Amino acid sequence: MKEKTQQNLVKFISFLSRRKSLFTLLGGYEWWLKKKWPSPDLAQTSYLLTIHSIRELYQRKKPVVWTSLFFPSEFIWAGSMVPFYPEIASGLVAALRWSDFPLRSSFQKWVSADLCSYHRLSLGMSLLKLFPRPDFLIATNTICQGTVGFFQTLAQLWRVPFYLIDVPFADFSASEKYISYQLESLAQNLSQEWGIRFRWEQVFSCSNQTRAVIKDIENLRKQKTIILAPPTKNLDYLPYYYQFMGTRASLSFFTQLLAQLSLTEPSSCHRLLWLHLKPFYPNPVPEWLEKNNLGVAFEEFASLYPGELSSREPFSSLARKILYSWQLTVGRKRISHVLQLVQEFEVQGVVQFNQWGCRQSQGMNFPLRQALRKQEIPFLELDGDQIDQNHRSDEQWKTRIQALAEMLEGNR
Amino acid sequence: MITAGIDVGSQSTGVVIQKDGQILSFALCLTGIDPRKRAKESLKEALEKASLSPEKLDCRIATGYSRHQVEADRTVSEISAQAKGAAFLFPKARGLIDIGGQDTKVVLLSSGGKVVDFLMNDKCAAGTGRFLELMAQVLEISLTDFGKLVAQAQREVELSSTCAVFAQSELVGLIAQGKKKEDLSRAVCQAVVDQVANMVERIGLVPPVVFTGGVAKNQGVASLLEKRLGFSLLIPPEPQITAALGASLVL
Amino acid sequence: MKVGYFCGYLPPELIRSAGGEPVLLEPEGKRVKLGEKYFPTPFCPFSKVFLDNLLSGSWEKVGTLLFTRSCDASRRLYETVSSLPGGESSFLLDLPHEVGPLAWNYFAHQLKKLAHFLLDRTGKSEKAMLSDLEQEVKSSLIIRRKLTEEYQAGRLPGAVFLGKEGGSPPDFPRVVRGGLPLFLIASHLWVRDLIGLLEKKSILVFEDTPLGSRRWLLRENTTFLLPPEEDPFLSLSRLYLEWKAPCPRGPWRERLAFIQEMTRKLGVRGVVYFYPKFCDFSLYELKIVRDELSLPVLSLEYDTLPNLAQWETRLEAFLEVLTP
Repeated sequence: MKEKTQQNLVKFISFLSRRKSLFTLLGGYEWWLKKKWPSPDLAQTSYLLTIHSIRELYQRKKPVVWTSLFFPSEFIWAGSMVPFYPEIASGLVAALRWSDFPLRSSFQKWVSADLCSYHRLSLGMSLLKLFPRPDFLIATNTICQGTVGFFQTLAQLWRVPFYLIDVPFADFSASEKYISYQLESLAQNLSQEWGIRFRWEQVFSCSNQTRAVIKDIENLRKQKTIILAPPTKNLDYLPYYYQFMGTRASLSFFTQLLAQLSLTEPSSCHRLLWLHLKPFYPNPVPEWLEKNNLGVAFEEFASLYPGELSSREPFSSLARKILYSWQLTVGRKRISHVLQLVQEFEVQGVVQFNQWGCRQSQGMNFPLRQALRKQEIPFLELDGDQIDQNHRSDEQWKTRIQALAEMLEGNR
Repeated sequence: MITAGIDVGSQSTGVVIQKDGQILSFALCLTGIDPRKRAKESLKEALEKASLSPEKLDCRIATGYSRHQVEADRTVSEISAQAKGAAFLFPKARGLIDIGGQDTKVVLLSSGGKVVDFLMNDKCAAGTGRFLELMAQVLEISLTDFGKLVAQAQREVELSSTCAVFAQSELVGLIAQGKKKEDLSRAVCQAVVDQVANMVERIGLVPPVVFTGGVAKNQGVASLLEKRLGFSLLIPPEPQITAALGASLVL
Repeated sequence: MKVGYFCGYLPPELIRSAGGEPVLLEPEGKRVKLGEKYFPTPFCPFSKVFLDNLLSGSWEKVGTLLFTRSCDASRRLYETVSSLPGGESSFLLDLPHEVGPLAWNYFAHQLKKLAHFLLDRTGKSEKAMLSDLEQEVKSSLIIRRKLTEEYQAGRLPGAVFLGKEGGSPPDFPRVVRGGLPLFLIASHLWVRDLIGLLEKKSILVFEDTPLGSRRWLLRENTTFLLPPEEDPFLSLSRLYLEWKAPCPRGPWRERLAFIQEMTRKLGVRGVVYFYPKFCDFSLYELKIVRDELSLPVLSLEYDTLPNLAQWETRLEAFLEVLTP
């Protein structure tokens, strides 16, 4: 599409996205879809939920809260607000093959190409006013400190308040208290400023039930012959692990996934553990994995907080859930967590897709490789970018994947 | 059993014909823009050198960047092929460094010549043959001049090794400062060496280590790499056919 | 006992009162040979150069190393150093992102942990440390106030703050020659080289760097007094989180307000933003500075080696724009 046409189209869509009443019409479409699919399959459930979310986010009947991947959605749902995870939405934009334009827009406004592309794309979509307008922003710096810069820039662009939940790295109990106090003070602040009332019971109960189903899925996936196909598909379900936790949508999705997985044909492929995320634009990595008889037994980002959320101590239990992400971000904890997953899921190899702008995950690769070598587990790094196609190097990925398969075949 | 290993790399294409562990012939040429055609021509040349007709071949195994584009009975990754080739030529080898046109590979080998671990360069071109080509253009020299110029270098000049684009602009800056071509040539080779040495250290290679790929023919890089690593490297007489040789041996 | 540190949020006052000798670590720029293998290509150049200096024995006499959780790279740097032989004598000070009573109390608790870590090594008593700490903070405040006044009056340009070992104060006041005033925002590497280059071009440089003024200056309207009954750790915590000049890690509104105030008071004509490639905080701050500051901004990027020729070309072009 020509640049000028694309710009005009973007302006038009951006104009439409600000007409709240337009999105009321989606209500009728949703009702019709529900009639059409009385018992929807997984794909239909996802489609329905996407339509519902678009309606909620652009109709703006409730406060729209932008938040970061490891901030628990239960907090937002319990306050009858609508969460929007720009990092997840960036993956969706890339999957729709439309990442180039917003990435270019952000670059033109001095957003460096060396920053995380999830963040760059979200800033581009914000500059173009295509993502739903936030009422305020809440983020944690648990996964990376880059998130802070990202949300600060969002606050500057949208001119809305930004509340940071600072996640420390000291001893667990001091950290838990510190986060819990911050959550409590945030809840008080939101009640005073926005009139938000928190009702924890229902959301927490739903989240706990969902977690139990996810645990069943995990247990099933620990069986040597069970592989969720195609490889890395489970990472497309991240919204259910993060954005919709605490809602019926996640619960019914995972219930269906469990039923589907129970009927899976036994597989004899090599089992891999997948670290970090994957390229979300259409790419042949899953196909090459399958061709080389490699399956993904488990994904690091599907590791969920194993404890229960309790409405008797909402802030402490949410703080503990946030702190569980130490497994991903604190060097020693991540390495021992990875080794534990290797054992539990009986994987033969570990793959990490290195995201160009992600310092925290790549900064750990050296000790991680050493630890896996000790266990004689090959560690494959795929370098590239998960959102920005300019950094893709298909031929290298193909060679590396084939070489890993040959190594595993040789070890058999 | 007679097999042909066909390595279609980004820069050069190599073919090796082998019979029961004996190399019968090999051919080497530039890949150009039609890898399929070049592979065919190289195979024909190698078969002629070995006085064999194509029907005599029991199996053709392709490797390299364009391995999926050429006619072959099966494919193997360059990593496994290089490892196999290196272990065949140097049975005691415990490591391999291959610097090709587009990729650099560092492979840790087990005592049986199996791949234990490997690393490839990231997307950045620094540390590859392509980087040397780019820098040679800036310095207005040919690739074969590097060895001689590095030997004549007198003063230490430093060049960033992180990124080819960065290094290129630095090189232009250093030329503007009036630095000598010999010293700059060494700085360019040193930048490649530092990139590769980082990969070697990351994966923990210990000697004996084989050095292959087109860049192994660059005396400047080879000597600086040996100095940086602190041990001698084993360089095959024709370092650009190791992958083709390895491919011919995978059965 | 020599205690090495580089982050502006690590209080030399605490190190001294715990019986240690603070050493501000300023890595020398050289080819990264030993440090690079630990980190990937798109990673903080300071961490690589720091590790290189450490592994090549630049700081052999520094037995204890202190780090902060200021950014992802700094955390990974600590994790790497602490996993190396002798790594048990390194410490990570957890540094909150936010300001306010919660953060002050949390940071005070972390400072106390650091004090105990140091006391275990120096053998000094806690009581003696507490009394010295109170004194240290008091005198530090007096010096900081005076320095802030002098700096804002334009009497402390150039490299005067840089590399004062152990946080000892720079000399003041200075006789200042004329020149085009520019504000320099930079990180840890090549600051001296760049200031040298700027001064060669007759520029009056006012630096805002973690090696220099950012360690010393106080924010505007600070009326910090030490109530005698207050916990000295809480005083120290507030001094660093609430009153000290903020750094690019935020909160951005306060940081921006500080830069705006300084550039206004100093009457600078432009800003030189000198930043490390792959530093998330700098990359984001650069955008905010460009968007929000009504001054011309020259951005200069660097990696693990200085590139004086390139900087000079860009600087000359910038000066031509400023003084047509």
